[in-house]
Amino acid sequence: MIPLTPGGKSYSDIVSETNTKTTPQTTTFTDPSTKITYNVTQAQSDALNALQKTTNGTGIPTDTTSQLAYQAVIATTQNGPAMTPVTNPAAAPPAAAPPQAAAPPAAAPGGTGCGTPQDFVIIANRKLGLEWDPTTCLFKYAPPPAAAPPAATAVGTLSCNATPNVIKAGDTTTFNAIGGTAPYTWGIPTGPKIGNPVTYTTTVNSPSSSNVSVGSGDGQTASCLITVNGTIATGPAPAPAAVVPPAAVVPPAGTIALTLSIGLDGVGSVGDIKNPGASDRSNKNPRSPIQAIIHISDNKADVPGGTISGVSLAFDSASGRYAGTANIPAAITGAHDIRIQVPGHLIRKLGITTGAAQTLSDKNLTAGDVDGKNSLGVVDHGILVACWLKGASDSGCGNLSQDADLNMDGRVDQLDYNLFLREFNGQDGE
Amino acid sequence: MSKKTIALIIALFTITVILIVLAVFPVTQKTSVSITPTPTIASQAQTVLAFAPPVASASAIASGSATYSMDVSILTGKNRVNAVQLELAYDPKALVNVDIKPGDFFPSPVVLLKNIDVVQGRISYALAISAGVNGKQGTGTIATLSFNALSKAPTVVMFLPKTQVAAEGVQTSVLKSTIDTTIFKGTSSATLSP
Repeated sequence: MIPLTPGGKSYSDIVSETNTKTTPQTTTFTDPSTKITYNVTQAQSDALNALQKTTNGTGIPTDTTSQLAYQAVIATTQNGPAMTPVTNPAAAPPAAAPPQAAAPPAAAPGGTGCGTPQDFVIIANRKLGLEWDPTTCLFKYAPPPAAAPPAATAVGTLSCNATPNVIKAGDTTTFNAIGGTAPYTWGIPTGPKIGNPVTYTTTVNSPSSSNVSVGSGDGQTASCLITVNGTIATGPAPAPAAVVPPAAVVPPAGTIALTLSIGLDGVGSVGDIKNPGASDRSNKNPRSPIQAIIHISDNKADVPGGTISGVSLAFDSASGRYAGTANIPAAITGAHDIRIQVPGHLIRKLGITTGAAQTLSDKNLTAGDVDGKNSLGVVDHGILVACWLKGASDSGCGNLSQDADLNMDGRVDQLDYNLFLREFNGQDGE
Repeated sequence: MSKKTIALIIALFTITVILIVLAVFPVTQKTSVSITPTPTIASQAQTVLAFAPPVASASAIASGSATYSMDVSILTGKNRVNAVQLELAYDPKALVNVDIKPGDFFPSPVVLLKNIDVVQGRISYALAISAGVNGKQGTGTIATLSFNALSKAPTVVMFLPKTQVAAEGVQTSVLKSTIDTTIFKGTSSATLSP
């Protein structure tokens, strides 16, 4: 597309008008980009001044279209003696010149004829689509020819290899074409596969050795040997299993994540209340996950919305502790106690809310609060004994058998009873 | 002054008087409280704990020192009690050398807890019937306190709220009530009757 000046003319039109006008030179024009003053014809002056109006006072056209037209006019002024420099302010500071700001035309040799523009002028105008015509002494609009597609370059004899070249059925390998020219056409043992890249990565299910063919754009063909071991797979090659990235833990909107790592007495890496580190007899394979309740509270009383139930904690065999994430409402502001309640255990204060995501990980919970009153007493003892010796059907145990399973091994027995005896000190939770 | 102005003044005065009356004599609304009868559930808590009168030991009488023992009595009602947790408070400036031992109510009792805080005057003592033995009904001595009295001035020994009693087939404390005592006031304590 030919760019137009603000007046709606193409710069080739302006060039034509400028060139064809024969008005004797009667004035001068100073190129604001070079500070060079020219003797110009009135037509040239008119055209240049018209373009100058688009400069917003800077002397340089501000939009690309006007710049192109301006440069075109400047370029055409080298047409013969019509435009010659009369000053040359060498000390003038360089202006913020537009791209390819027009250079002064070469003075016509002997003051007659049209002469030949300087090379950079020709180059600059060529970028504008103008070509110098020495017969007419005019720049003429000549759109540049469309760029020819790059010629395919042969880079030698085509060959192929596979990396790795010994695989199991179902594994993935990459074929590499060496030499030849693109595009490359690949065939693999299970059927033709077309691809253009110089490498081709695919899953191969065919057994035994196979030759994989490849053709190049310059008509060459080659093959590379690949050895496929293992069971024959029938049917089409299965698509590579989609790699599912681990789900990022993003707390629901309006909540703040609390990352928890909780130790339970008698479980995993935790001993008992008197010897927390003596875990040799603790249950290393506890039931998991378990459900916890997070209390955001003041003086043991939950604030509105501060009871978060159903917080799932999963046993981490590496740490020997239970871990999980609780999402507390972001609407709960200010400092409050964060307490955790796990059935069968005393409530433990973990920390203080900060209004930001936190990790709370250094607390162990005391086992034995079977009745959920946040205190250890003989009633807990009585329930545990009932669950242990009389079973869940006994009214003294009822639906509390899971809570009486203090060591989380799935049953209530003497291990739970002994753990209770070790934990029991008549204490209350936090 | 125009009639209109006078009428306006009267109206404003009237409104002011009404507002003052309302402020000084607020309208009292009769409130009715409806009491919804709740079904009575036969309480499972029938056990009572109390102190027996302190008894001076024979040796103390002989030596003239003031060493006493005082039983903690239990009356279970229909509860088959299998564990008792006593949380007691006393004046550590009146009673010293305080100790507590199982009574004879439970055969072969297991002491689950025994903490005596001589500074705070606090006793936490829990004992249970042996595992596998049925709970027990009746009246008896669940534990016995012993102490030295620094004077004959009256002093209180009381049960704290954390005191509880466990019984077979019940998932809550079956403690119905406790009876505190003031010793050295002439006559001491209460008498339990089945």
